[in-house]
Amino acid sequence: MATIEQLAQQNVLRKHEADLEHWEMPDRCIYLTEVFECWFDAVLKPHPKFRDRNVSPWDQVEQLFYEFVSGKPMAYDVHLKKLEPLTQFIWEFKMPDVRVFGWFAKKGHFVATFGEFKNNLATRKLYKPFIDHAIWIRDQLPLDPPKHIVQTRMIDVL
Amino acid sequence: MSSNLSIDKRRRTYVRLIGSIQNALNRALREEHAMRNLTQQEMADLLHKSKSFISRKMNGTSNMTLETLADLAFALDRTVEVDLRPRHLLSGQNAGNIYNKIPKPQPIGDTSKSVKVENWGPA
Repeated sequence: MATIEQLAQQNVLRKHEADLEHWEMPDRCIYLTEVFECWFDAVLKPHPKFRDRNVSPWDQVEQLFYEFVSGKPMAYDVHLKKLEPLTQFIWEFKMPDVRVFGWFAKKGHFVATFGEFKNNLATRKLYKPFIDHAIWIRDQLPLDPPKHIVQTRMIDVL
Repeated sequence: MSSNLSIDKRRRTYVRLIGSIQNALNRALREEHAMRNLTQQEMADLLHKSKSFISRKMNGTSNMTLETLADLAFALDRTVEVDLRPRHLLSGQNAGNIYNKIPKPQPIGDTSKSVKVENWGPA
């Protein structure tokens, strides 16, 4: 078993280095699974802007990750939302065109397991497989218990 | 190991601007809602637009002209401030995320002013 920092050192997870300005310091952490990184590079990054959008899906994820890591205020159901069933403690990061799934290993430390375009989730009712995937990843990780935060409020996880 | 999903600096300036406008609009609406129950529907009525138009602009899902930004500020009864700051003078600025929420010191013995610490989101 290991801490989340040790898992990043062992290359089991990758710590996301947010694109902070030179005057900013990281305030929170995001860890990415290998599957998330593959999805990011292969699917998200090359995806063009959706019609009438300001920014591409990639820009949206990059911006929200930046806001999270740099400690910007987050609003429930605007930036972050806890998913049903609440007893599984899986959260989503919400962007106009993208959802990112994962959990809080500890306060301010989010593990991102996968992402999907919002349109696909809405039309194909895909939430459950992504929640199940996040739980499966969490169960497999040799992470020191408790593996996740069980409280439900924003102030508990941020 | 660490991962960097970075974008080029020019693009980053634009993405950060869009993000800060969206956050400012939503923060203003939350405050106005708390103070006087302002809703997106009321903003839409003031601007003779649909609620979905307001919603799309507020959540950053569609392009916004400066005129629309000004309209939203009008509906929120707010002004818009534009500030182009030199990058080299911004050391330590994200500390402001925390420190600007700490109430200013009150005179000792003065109990007439309530102290309000801003909440970062619904509990």
